[in-house]
Amino acid sequence: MGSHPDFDYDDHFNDSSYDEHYENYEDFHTVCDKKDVRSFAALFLPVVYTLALVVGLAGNSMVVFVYLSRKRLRTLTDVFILNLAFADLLLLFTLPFWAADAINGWEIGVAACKITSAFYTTNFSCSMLLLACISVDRYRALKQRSASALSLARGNPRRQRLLLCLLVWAVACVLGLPDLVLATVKQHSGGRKACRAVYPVTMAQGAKASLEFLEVLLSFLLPFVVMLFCYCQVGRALSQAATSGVRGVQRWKTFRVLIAVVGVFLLTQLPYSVVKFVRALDTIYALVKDCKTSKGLDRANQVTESLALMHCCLNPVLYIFVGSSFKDHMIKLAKRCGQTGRRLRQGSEMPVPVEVSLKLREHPTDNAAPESDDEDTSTFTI
Amino acid sequence: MKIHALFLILLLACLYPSLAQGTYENCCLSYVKKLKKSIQRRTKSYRIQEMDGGCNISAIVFRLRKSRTFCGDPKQQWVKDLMKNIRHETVSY
Repeated sequence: MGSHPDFDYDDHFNDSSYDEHYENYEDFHTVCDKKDVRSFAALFLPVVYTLALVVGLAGNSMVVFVYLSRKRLRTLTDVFILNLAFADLLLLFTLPFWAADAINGWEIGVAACKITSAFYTTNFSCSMLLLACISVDRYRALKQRSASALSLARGNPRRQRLLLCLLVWAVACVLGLPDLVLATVKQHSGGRKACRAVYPVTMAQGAKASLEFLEVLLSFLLPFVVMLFCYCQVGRALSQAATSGVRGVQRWKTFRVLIAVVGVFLLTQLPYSVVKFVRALDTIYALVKDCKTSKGLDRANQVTESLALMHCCLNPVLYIFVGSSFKDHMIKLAKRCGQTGRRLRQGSEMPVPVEVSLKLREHPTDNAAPESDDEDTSTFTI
Repeated sequence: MKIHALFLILLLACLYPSLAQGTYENCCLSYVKKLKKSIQRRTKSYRIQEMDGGCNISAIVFRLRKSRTFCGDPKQQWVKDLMKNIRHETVSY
C-alpha cells in the first residue's frame, strides 16, 4: 500500500512513453482477441448447419426408408450405403448442438459435450470409412467375376456382411473414444464455456499435432487414395468394355458418376484437410504470430469444416439418386466387363498389377469355389 | 489377397482420434521480450495460458488497466518475479 502514491505518479508521468511502448507491441504481444471470429461463427455456422440438417435429413432418411423397406439388400455396396446414410443421419443430429455452441457457448453440461463430441467423430470417420469401403466393394465386384472373391464369398455371405459392418462401426466407435475421454467443458478467457478436447498439459503440443496429422493422413489421404485407385480400376474396366460394344453415351454417364463421387469427395474434403494440416504445423512450430493471420486461419477452418460436413448431405444424391437411374444399366455393364476381363486374362493382355492380384487371390478361393456362384449375383451397383 | 489388405489397411490405419470442433479462444501468440518497469508496476493481475489444446504456446497473460494485456514467457526470470507480486486470476474472465 506504501507504494501506491508512487504508482499513481508514475502512471501519470509516463503515459506518453507507455502508449508508445504499447503501440509497438500491440500487434504481436498482446492476447489475440477472437471475439469477431466467434461472432462470425455465431452467424455463419447456424445457417450452414440448418441447411445441412434439412437437406441431409431429407436425403438420408429417404435412403434409410427405401433400403429398409426392401426385402433384402442385394449387394454389399447396398449394405454400405444404408450404413452410410445411418452414419450421416447420426452425424447430422449433432449439428444443432454445435450451432447452439457457436451462438451461446456450451451450456448443457459435460456429459452432453462428451457424447456429442464422440458421436460427431464416430460418425464422421464411419462415413469416410464407408465411402472407401464402397469403392473397394465396387472394385471387388468388378473383379469378382473373373476370380470369385476372397473370404467374403466364403461361408454365409449375409453373416459376413453383418460382421464387416460391425467391424466398420467398431473401428469408428474406437475412433470416437478419445473424444469421449478428453472432451470436457472449459471456460476460457472470454468467459464462454467451450466443449473441446482438453489434453494433459505435458503432452498437449505433441499429442494435438500428431492427432491432426494423423487425421489428415487417415481421414482424407487414405480414403482418397483407396477411392482413386478403385475407381480408376473400375473406369479402366469400363473403357475396356467399350470395345465389347457398350454404347459411348452410357459409358460417359457411368464415368460421370465415378468422377462426381471422387470429385465431390476431393472438393469437400481437400480444403478442410489443407487447413487442418496448416493448423497442425502451427501447433508444433507456433508459426502464426500475427493475430490477423490466426483469425484468418480460424475462419478458414470454420468454412472448410462446414464444407466437409456438407458431404453427408451429398452422399444420398451421389450414391443413390444419381446412381439409381444407371443401376440396371451398370449391372449389364459389369457383366460385360467381367466377360471382357475374363477374355483379356486368357489373352494375357491384363495389366501387370491386376494380374498379380488375381494370382494371389487364386489360393484362398480354391476351396471356396462352390459358394462363389451365390455371390456372383451381387454385381455392381453405382 | 489384395482386397483383403485394402480392407485391413483401411480399418486398422483409421485408428486415429479426431478433434471435433474448433474453439476460438483468445490466445497469446508470442511473447513480449521485456516490459518496462513502469508498465510492470501497472500490471494488476495475471492468468496462465496453458497448452492444453486450446492455445499453441504456454504463456503468462498480464493484465493492465482497460483490459490491456501482455504475454510473458513463463521461462523468463522477470516474468517469474512479476508473478510473485501480483494477483493470480483463478477465475478467468
